[in-house]
Amino acid sequence: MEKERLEELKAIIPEERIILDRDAILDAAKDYIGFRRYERDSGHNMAPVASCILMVNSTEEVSAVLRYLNEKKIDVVPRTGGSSVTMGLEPVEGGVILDGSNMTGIISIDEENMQVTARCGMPLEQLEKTLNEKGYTTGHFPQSLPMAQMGGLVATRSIGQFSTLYGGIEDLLVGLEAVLADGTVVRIKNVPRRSCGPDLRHLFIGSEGTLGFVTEVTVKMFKYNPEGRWMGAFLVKNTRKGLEVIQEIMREGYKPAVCRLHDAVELKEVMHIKVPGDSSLLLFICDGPTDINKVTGKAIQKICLKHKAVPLGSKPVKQWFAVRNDVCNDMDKPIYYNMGVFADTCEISAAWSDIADIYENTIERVHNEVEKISLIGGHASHCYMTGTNIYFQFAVMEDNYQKAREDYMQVISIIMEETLKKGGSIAHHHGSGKYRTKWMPEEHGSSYELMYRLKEMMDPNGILNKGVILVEK
Amino acid sequence: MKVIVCFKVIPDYDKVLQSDWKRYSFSYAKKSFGVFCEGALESALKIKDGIKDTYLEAVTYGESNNVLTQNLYAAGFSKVTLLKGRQDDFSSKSTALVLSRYIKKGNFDLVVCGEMVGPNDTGSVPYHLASYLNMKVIPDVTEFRVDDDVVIVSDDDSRTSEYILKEPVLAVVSDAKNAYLRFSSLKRRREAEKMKQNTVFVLPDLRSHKLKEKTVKKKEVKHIDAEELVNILRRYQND
Repeated sequence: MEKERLEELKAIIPEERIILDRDAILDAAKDYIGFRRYERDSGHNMAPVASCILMVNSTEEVSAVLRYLNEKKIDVVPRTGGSSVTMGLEPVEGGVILDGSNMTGIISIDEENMQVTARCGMPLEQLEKTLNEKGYTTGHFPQSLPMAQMGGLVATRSIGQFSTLYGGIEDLLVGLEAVLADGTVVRIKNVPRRSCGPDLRHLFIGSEGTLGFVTEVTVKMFKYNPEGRWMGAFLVKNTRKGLEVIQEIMREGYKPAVCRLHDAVELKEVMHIKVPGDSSLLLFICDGPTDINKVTGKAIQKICLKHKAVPLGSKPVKQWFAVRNDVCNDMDKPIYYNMGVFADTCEISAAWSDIADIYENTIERVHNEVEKISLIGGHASHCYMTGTNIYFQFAVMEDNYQKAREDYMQVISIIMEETLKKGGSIAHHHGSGKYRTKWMPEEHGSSYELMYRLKEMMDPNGILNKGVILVEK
Repeated sequence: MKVIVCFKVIPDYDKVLQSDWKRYSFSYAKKSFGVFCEGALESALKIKDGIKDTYLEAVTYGESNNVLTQNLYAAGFSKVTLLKGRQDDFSSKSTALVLSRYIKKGNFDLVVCGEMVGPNDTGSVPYHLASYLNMKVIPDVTEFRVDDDVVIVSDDDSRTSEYILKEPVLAVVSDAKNAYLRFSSLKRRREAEKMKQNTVFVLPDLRSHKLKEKTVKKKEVKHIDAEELVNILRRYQND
């Protein structure tokens, strides 16, 4: 960073919170997308490097810093927990990282109105633990739980493993405070619902830092009743049949919190279970009031048995539940690199009428077209009345870090193309990041123009997270 | 070159529910290679990477897992053998004895074992096995390398870092440089699905095992310290 700029920034935030150390900068911009992990594990950083990290401690500081950066037209990437898997946190070369992870703390727990307000850097896991001790839960459990912080959850349109009951962050968010690119602070008040024009919360939910920096978040709370949960696992003939079962459960109006379908590849490769043919595993958890859980569980069992699914009891669910976020512990270990592959996931969504075709067509094409493929499978894990998601998991043999990105994108391209072909959405909950941006025009169609107009209105100098969501004109 | 790797299939203890440790019921838990066994298997594959016509076999006693067997075939093992006995006696000496009976017939140049299997293992199987096979032991092996068709065994002791393999030995892999079994291409995985595990029923039963054990006791188990071993191997290198 130029000396003059640095001196000017020191007048805005204390010098000790302007981080210039290269290793710290690389660490803060670290993205967990499969090919970047492979590159890093091979000892190479191929990502752009920011000039500094600005560690902000308050909304006022965020405002002052953004006002300055906007005036000077300096590119900035907003950051909190740093669990991106989409290149969403990668800076523009020489830009700055605006880091809100110091902005921790719960501002209020409002038991009367069942809502909790926290600052953007509040770790979700810590918030959840605090609420649990008081008998409440956020109902929001993304796999990134050990890493995630509240601001990032809103900015990336996060979803949790209990989403089929509680919904995604868009269903949980009550209100927020954010800072626009020019430093203007805006607050969207906490009300249960209102009919006063477009819902402005959605300008920030899933904006991935392109329209503002989220500084404070208010989310709903629910009664916490882990002892009253109902759990059940079933084996079904194949993935298509499993999707039929889930669809019927949704259509009949039952709301398990967890509703998952793992295909035979995941059972074999991830769980080391050899199942007959293409058998797939259904996992259910009903959460909330005990009596409702019992009724919902009974109904789910009845539907599963009607489809000739084999009941496996609750143990497979308990085991999944116990280790479901362990992947976060290994994110920085070169395990896959040492096994000669890069591995990753990619999630899409579609209507019930199309989801099975997308799943099957994608796997067939990857098998036929990706020479280095080792395995590809997937699971559905977030279910709705109208459709569900597929979370593809894949591993590709690799021995050259310089080829990893190209080989990675070959798989992603097939997933994107097959999803768009059937009218699905190319990103269910990880966001666009930079790696899916090129497919965004096709994803949004004629409404994509609104994205540019919003950007022009809220960030006219285009300093916020360049390259994400919007294809540069 | 003929190499055999002894391995064990165990529950992935990281994935066992806390409540089940009391009841010791792990049947549902994901099956994995013993933590050091996996390093031993992958380390041995490095020999085949360097010497293509290496015959590489993996052998286990007691319990196997279809998926893991297929993964071994896909990774490059020539044969995967499951030894089954009449008795459920998996004490360290019994296991070593059963393994030795099978291995003796194969004239292997190198026998590879993981240092121990899991938290409940004594870690003594490799040493009993070496005794039954009357082989020297190289402990704390971290990797095998091939240089001009010569296998070099490295250990984690900086003083005695490398041995050139010139006679049949038993290598005990501990903190392997490559601790995880490699992935394989889809094509190899599909080929491996057609390959069958070689199952061998091993006699004698517990009774004759005890008789055999008496015989074994007459043999002196050779424990060589690191320095002595280096001196021996250096002599071989100089030959």
